[in-house]
Amino acid sequence: MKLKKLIEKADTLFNADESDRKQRQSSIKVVLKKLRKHQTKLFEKLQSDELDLESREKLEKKLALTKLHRKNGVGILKEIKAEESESS
Amino acid sequence: MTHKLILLVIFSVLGCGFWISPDFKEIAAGVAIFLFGMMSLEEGFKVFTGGLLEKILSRTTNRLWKSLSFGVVTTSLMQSSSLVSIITISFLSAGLISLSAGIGIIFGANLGTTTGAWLVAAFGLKVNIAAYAMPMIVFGVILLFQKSRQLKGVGYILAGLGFLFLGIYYMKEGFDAFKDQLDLTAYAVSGYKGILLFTLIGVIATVIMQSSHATLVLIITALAAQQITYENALALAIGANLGTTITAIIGALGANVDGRRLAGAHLIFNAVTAIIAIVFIYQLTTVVDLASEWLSIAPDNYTLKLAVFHTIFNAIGLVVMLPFIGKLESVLIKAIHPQIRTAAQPRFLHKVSSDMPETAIESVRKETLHLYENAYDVIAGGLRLSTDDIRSELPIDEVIKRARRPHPINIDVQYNETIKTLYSDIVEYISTLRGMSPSQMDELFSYRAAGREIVEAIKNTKHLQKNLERYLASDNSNIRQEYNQLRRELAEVLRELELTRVGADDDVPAILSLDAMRLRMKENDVALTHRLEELIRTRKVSPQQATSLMNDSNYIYGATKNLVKMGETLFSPETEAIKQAEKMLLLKDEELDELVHDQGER
Repeated sequence: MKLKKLIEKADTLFNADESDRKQRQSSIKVVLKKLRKHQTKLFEKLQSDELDLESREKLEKKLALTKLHRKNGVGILKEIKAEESESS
Repeated sequence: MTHKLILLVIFSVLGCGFWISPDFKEIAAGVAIFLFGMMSLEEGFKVFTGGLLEKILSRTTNRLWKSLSFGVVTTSLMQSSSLVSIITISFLSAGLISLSAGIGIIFGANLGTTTGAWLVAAFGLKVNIAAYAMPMIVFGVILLFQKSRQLKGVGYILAGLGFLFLGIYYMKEGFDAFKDQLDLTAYAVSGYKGILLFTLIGVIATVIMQSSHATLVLIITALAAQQITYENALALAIGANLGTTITAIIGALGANVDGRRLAGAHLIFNAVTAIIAIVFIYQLTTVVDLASEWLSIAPDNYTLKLAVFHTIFNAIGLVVMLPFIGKLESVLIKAIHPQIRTAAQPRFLHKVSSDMPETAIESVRKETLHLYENAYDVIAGGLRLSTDDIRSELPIDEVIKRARRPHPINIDVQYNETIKTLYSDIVEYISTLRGMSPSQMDELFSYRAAGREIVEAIKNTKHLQKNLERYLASDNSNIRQEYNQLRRELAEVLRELELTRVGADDDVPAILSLDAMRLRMKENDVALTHRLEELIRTRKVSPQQATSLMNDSNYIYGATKNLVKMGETLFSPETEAIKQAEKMLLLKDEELDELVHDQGER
């Protein structure tokens, strides 16, 4: 098992395309994690009763945007995985 | 001319030496191979200076002890205080670290460099290092042919180490053979006269070789072959320490004022250390004997004792100078003045930064941000608004009402004075950068493009200015209101850009947060179309006024688009990989249109 992991790591190191793909994948995961946190915060803020109409509208827009960003991110991750399985 | 003459003299001296003695040829070749190894090692470490080193720097230079440790550790690892000095000066010039942090690093580097003498004296002369050198060079050169930048870097480091070992081997062999022909100790000079003379020789040798490490290895190998006396070797080591500041001073010539101050600190530190070592050399020798005895070093092991001496006198310099770091900083600030700069002069583009790809890129980013700051004033002035008001927490309506400027600024004049030359300097600086990887070139081009967006945003504001002046003074309150709405929209964009730039909401990825602005831009466009239809239908504005308003709304739309694009490139503090990931997630125009449509229906 350890040898297999070692071979995978060596393959990533020597294969420029593969390492590029891995980096893209991990970077998108980092951004998605940030977006998920942000979405939770926005959602919590929206639950407050003290919000006026204008602030509520602003938060709703931000939430809609964040959802779309996450949707795009998940889509790209799927594309990368498909690329990965095609090349292997 | 002088440079060429010196080169000619060096060539002639070496040529004569080679003709007289083949062993001298071996020693000189050893030095040359060693220096080539140093260059290769530096090239390899430069690959890893980007990103990681900057991260470590930002976390490890906020306290003096951290800067010192950083200097000690990096110099011990890279075995080149010159490289650490140059990196520190370039980081300082790019505004990545403070002057006090830079001084701490340089002081630490002086102590870190002493590990080199230990390594050579303890291992280099006792182990057959040539046996290790050959495979290192072979593996290193194979790795140099790889595509991956990291692997190439490892290749340079391996080959560099191999050449270093090979150089030491040749120097050692050369001196061993040389002693059969000529006894250099016959030229030894004792007493203070000898100390001063050999200190000077150490300085000159280091200035010529541009590496105190190479001088020290030469001293250690000569001492091992008993070609120089122990006392003269100590003086040579002091000279090598002093001579190394020349590299930093040459490096600082192309640096900013802080870089020059740092080189001054380096010179003062090494000069003070050298004076202490020369004055107390006999007392220091006794301390070295005691320390060597404690470390179980044989009394006749002069090479290791030289390493002990090198460490002790640098440590003493550090102890003496540490309490005066604050004072030294203020003296240097008083003595070396910055040039008075206008808004149009570059603040971060220095020649010294261009040698380090990552630092050069950061300098370009910071200079483009400087361009943006200048443009911010021009655009706000073009709208007759105050920059301070836009940046304040005043409601935007209040900002528009409080517009203090009685007359609009002349955008053409402002553009020529604060934008055009600065942008040209950025473009020129980028064109001079060499040794960049394709991804680094892409990053540089993206900053150049961001500069272009800034220029375009100003041009869009300029086109709008004429009608803005005309209709803000109009009797028709409807058209006045619409033009104030355009000012409000651009002022809001400027305010939000500023919030994104300073990272007011750290939870949101900076680049993605700009999508909110793009969405508002589209909403404003739709709202204006509806209002215009109403205004024309009810004849509240003339067809000519409506056309002007539509055109000018396009300029606002264009300026916003330019500024958002610029922000996407300049504002994120993340690594390039994360920036690219964020850009991939940005919404397409159709997605934004759909969102506007959905919200309109609700």
